Amino acid sequence: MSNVIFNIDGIKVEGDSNQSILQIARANGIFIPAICYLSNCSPTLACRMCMVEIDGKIQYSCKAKPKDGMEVVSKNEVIEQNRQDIMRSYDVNHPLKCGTCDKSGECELQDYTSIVGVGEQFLAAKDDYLGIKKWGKRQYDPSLCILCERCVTTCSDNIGESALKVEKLETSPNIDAYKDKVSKEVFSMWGKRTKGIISQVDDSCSECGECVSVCPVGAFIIQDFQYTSRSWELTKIPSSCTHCSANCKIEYNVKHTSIKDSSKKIYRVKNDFHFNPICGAGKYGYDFTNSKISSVNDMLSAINAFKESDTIIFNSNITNEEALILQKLKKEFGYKLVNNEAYRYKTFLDNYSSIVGKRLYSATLDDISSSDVVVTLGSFVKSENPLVKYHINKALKMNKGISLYFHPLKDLTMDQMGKNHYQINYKPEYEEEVLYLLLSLFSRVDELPSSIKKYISGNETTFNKVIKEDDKEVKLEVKSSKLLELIGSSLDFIETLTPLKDKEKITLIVGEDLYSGTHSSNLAKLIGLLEKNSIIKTMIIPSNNSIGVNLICDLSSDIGSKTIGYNCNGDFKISANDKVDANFYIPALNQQEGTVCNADLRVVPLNVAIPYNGYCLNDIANELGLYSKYTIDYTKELPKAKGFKTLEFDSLKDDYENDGTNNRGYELKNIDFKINDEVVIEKIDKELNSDNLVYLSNPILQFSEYTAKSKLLKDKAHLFVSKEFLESNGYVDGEIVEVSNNLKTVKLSLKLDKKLEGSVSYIPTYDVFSPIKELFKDYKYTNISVKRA
Amino acid sequence: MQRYDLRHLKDNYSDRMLEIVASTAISEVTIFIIDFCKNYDNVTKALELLEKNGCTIMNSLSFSEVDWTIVVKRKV
Repeated sequence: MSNVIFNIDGIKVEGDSNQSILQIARANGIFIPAICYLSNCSPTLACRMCMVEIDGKIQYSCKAKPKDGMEVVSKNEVIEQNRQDIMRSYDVNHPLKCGTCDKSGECELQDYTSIVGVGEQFLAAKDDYLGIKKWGKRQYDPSLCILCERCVTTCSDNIGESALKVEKLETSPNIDAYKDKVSKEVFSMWGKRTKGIISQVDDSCSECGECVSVCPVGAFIIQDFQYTSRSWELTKIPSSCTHCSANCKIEYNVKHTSIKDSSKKIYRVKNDFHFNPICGAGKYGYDFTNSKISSVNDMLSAINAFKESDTIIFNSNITNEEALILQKLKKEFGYKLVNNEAYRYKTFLDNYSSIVGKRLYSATLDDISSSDVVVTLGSFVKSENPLVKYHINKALKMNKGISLYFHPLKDLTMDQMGKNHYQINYKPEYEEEVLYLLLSLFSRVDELPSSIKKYISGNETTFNKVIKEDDKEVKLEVKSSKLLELIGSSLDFIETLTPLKDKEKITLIVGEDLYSGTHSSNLAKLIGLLEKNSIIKTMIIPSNNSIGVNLICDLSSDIGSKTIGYNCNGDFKISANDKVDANFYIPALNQQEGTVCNADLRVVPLNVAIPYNGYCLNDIANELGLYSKYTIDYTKELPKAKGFKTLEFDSLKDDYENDGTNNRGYELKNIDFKINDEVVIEKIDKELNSDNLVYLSNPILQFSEYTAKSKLLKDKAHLFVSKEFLESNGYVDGEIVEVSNNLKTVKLSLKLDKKLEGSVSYIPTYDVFSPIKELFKDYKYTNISVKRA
Repeated sequence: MQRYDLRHLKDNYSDRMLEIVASTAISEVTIFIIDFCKNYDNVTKALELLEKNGCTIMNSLSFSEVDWTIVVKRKV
């Protein structure tokens, strides 16, 4: 990787030798047309629009790498004729349905046909009808498809599912008559296009909807959106998704509900597919607005409740500004602020920070995607934070990295990322053993505390290996660690792990499993030691805005005598969910302005997609004696000492530049934390047995009560099980069972998760009307018994 | 140039189509829109019929998920 300086159309540009000429042109504000290219993905050379002339030779700028002093011509008569013929060939037999097509008005076929000036059509080919495919929530119309393969590319390089592929058609039109009428580049591109169609690989799709996002024409659409609006009728509102801590950059598309109903409605969510692919929850779970508005009398009751209560219980699904209002109320009136998820996260982070000396963790999303090795531990990452999974996939696909995925549940979705991905399914409560293994592999063991050194060396062992040398079998003794067997792997796996020691960039991703349960303090300390004594950078995935809540609020662990439940149960319940019974209603997160702290350690803005004409927390706080006209007046007051900036809400940017430069909000400053030199790892017994284990986690597409109430993702709780679970117990998919342990008994329907293997099942958290969470204590795993209801 | 909407006839458009062609002048351009019932054979059938009855096919395109449009010019 080195810096290169060269010319594009006589303009001096600078870039990295690893980048393509197209990327450098974009970064330098030079427009080279390209349809099939997706930023930071493999070039497919499907459209060939990005052709340029380099030293008199036609090359494709999405693939060509720059050299010092190179002269690149992005347009001349030949190139422009080729581009015009490419678009002319794309226009052949393209249905004349711009009048009803969802994409009309934002269609790249319309745009480029106009930009390159296709004024007449002299190409023709026999048409055929290939039918319309309905795939889950999407629809694919091959007659509209220009086979740019952006859907295939994003599904493989961004999402990591490879659920789409180009399939060869049995018959295709003969276009030989035009061989001499267009250049060989155009003829070859057109010929390839007429022979292919997109098809879906069975059971591989998780319904992220990114194929719809990237489609330049209307070939991929969302069935629910079809015929509901023209693109130019929709008001585009930039914001951040609030379903998980990725807080992806999204754009709500809003207009009136109908001719009879002028109230605003979200019709769809779009995203910056080049730099921020999103998951299906962001794409489809947008309609969680609160339609209930509290009366003046309810407001008076709320004020009285605040005056009479001593505790506010809340979760991390709130903005930083709401958190600051709660903190100010605590300071003024002495409330105990109770937030279990944020408190668990804080305790974990405190233990980690006391070793590394920083308040927050060290890895960002870019660190993950540029890693040589990505280790994921204790995160059902595909549903905990899909954007993190996409970045792991990026490390594998674009950086030729290696992924080590440690989790008790065998998740076939992760295996879809392809080769160089290793899944190790340890038993719950064995996270410590995984960390000791990582310490033995990646850390400077000599610098570790003696007890840990001793534990690691106590587990050293050898295994015998037979190799062939000069046609003779030679027996070798290879060093390994018994820890591998303890975590369900085998001693010879060390041969895969050992070469990773020499890699230059290693990132550890830690999930929610680790900061629940009695072992969490030990685990946090071990992670701290690993980071301190190695080159490893760590990301500790927060749940929702737990980072913001922790930085802003002084949390308590004990509850007082009278409580306000802020989006939680309490003696006086305040809710942003109109489906639950509450004493007082507040706007949902897509009806509020504010900021949240995301897993990428940035403070990003939320905007109002749908106006809320009722009261919010700020109104209550004002009545109680704080004064601020708008909630976002607090944005500039977020605590600077904790890493926030004193910036006005309206000054926050939220975009990616052409070269991918992230201008979303601002980066949190990672402030110093007091180091505790004494590291004590306590001995904690394991409590679970390996039979009938269940895990508390959501399936893909679901995060909370808000995704579960949305029209397209609506669902209730199930016991998610593997095919093996169904078959070994003689159950059928959908059967009602009784799930019980010493804490609770609940009835649930079984739901087959085709991507799950093994006997461990999982139970989701998104159904607030089901008492399933009561089956669990602190840890995300427990033993249950399942019987027919 | 005239446009004829034959969608209400579904796949029984042949007689009316021929009647229209017969009523047009030489070199006159006619646009037909048919409901092809999501069966491309209906389009092929229409194109063959029009060619056999003295028309040059100027254009043939899908117009929506259920409609097809055919542009012809009468030569004889």
